[in-house]
Amino acid sequence: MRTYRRRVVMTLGIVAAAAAIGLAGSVGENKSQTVADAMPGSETPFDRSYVTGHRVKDSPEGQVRASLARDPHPVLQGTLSSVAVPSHDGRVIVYSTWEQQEGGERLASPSDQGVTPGTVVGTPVLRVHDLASGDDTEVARGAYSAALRHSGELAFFQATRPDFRAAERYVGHVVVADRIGEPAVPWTSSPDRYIVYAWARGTLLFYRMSEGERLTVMAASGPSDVRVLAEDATIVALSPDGGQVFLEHTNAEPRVSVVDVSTSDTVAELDLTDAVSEKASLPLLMYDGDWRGARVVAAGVNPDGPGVAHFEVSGNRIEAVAVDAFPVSEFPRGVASPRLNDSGRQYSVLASPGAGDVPDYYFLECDPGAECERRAVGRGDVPHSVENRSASHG
Amino acid sequence: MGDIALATFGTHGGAQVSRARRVRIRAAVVVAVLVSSLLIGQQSAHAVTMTGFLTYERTWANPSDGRLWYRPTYDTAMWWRSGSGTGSQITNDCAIGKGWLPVGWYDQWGHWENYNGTAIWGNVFWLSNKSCWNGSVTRTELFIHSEMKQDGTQHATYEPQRWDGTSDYASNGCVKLSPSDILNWHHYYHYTGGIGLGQHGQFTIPNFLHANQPT
Repeated sequence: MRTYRRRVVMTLGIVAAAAAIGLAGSVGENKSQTVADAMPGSETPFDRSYVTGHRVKDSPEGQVRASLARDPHPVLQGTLSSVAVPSHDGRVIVYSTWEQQEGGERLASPSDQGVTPGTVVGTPVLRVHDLASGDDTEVARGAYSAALRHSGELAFFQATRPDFRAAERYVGHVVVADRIGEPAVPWTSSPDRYIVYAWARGTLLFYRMSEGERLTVMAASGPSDVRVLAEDATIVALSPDGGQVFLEHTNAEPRVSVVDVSTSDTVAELDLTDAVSEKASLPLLMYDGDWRGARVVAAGVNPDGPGVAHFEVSGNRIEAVAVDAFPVSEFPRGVASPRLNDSGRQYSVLASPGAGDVPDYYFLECDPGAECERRAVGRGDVPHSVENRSASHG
Repeated sequence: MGDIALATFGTHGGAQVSRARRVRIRAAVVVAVLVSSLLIGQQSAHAVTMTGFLTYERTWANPSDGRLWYRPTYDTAMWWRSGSGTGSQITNDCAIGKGWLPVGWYDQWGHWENYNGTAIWGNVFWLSNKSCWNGSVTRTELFIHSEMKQDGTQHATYEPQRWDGTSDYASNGCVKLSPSDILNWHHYYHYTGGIGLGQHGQFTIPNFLHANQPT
């Protein structure tokens, strides 16, 4: 384990708040409570787990907690959604896999690999692993990106045709089953390319992907009861109580917002250009962050390099609290997927300092304003989070 | 000439690079045609080859200032400014909807002059899917496009169909050109690209584009 000291900078746009709070002080302690504060965060037995290959672990030094029958693979969802989702009771893990048929050479064109329009390239398969029995079975073929609700409903994307074919859009429906293994019914009314994110109480959040990978955040409350939550936006995190979602709009404009899931109303927003100082700027932000209590963290980058942005959400207000900056020379691939711990202050973030084709992956466990501890995952092993992003209530 | 720049290669390093690429591309096309003729049959009837060479060069320092190079002949080259990716993970080609175009060879899967999509419109070139650098993600829905209406004109208010300047070189992963530049490239594509490139719709051009990352 190696200790790593990073440069921490503050944004002057919120200098008053920052000065009052102190760099490594008790940020947020004196703030009014939000609904998010009142509800505990999602705590499952797999709250901090990740998977490399088929092995599920809690930490790089920890024991293997589960050996899945297949390697989870986020091939069609990336980090927009969890590749492996444990149930809230910790009994099963639902995970996305990929069965490659043709092609697969990264640099060659499809035609050089004998792949022409209509060729079956592969098939995404959704599987479930029972942790007690070790049974590992298929849930659905042509399916990926699962969301498992506290009460047991399973949502996922189900393609109209299971096989992923070259030169064909991979379209289907967001479907929901009352329980794992029971028949699933479509909640979307028209086939499209969707990626399921998580349950927010009784509302299902998912993405619609259009040409050019343009992303729209959607919400559904039942079959054909679908609405647009935000266009050209992605989800940084769902509030712990599932009532609100923290969005980044930095594709279109440097802005973040908090949107009420049930009404689609924007509760709070922050123009990031207002939070630019002479010393530092807030990063352009990335999806796949975290929300604990009133604190939200998101990975990003500013002109000086990668960073982690810290926000406080209180009522109808978003405050940019701090930016932890990491030297681009050491982390040329940036940092990603920050996760807060139970205190809502310390966090871990995934980093890949290597610039080669087979890099080392690390988790940096950081205390804002202090130091990060580096914990190696392994060379070439891409770690994917094992987590249930759905709210633990409702 | 706006964003287009013409260059004529001599016998310096650039010419050597160009020759190497030409040999590689030609060989790849021959292999692709043989494979498709022998194994696919029906598909080869739709396959079209391009005699020119198209390259997208990512620019690490400024991903919104990349170069779409086109070499209609051995000793002639032109380029247009083009961008790819957006936001904090712009140089992470594994970031769906954010990262720039992964490096490697692409087939073309279609071309439309008046494409009527839900996110892009007008003059578009559909690129094949591509795995990102660590193989964890397959990037899809990739195009060379601009911001314009279906008929190629500019919308007065709707931002996705209106080019506002350099900020619009940002994309979710596609290669993005200004409206005038994509029309210019489109002209060269049809008139100097090769036999069969007059068609529109869904068809295949093997090894249509190579994306690279100059060091």
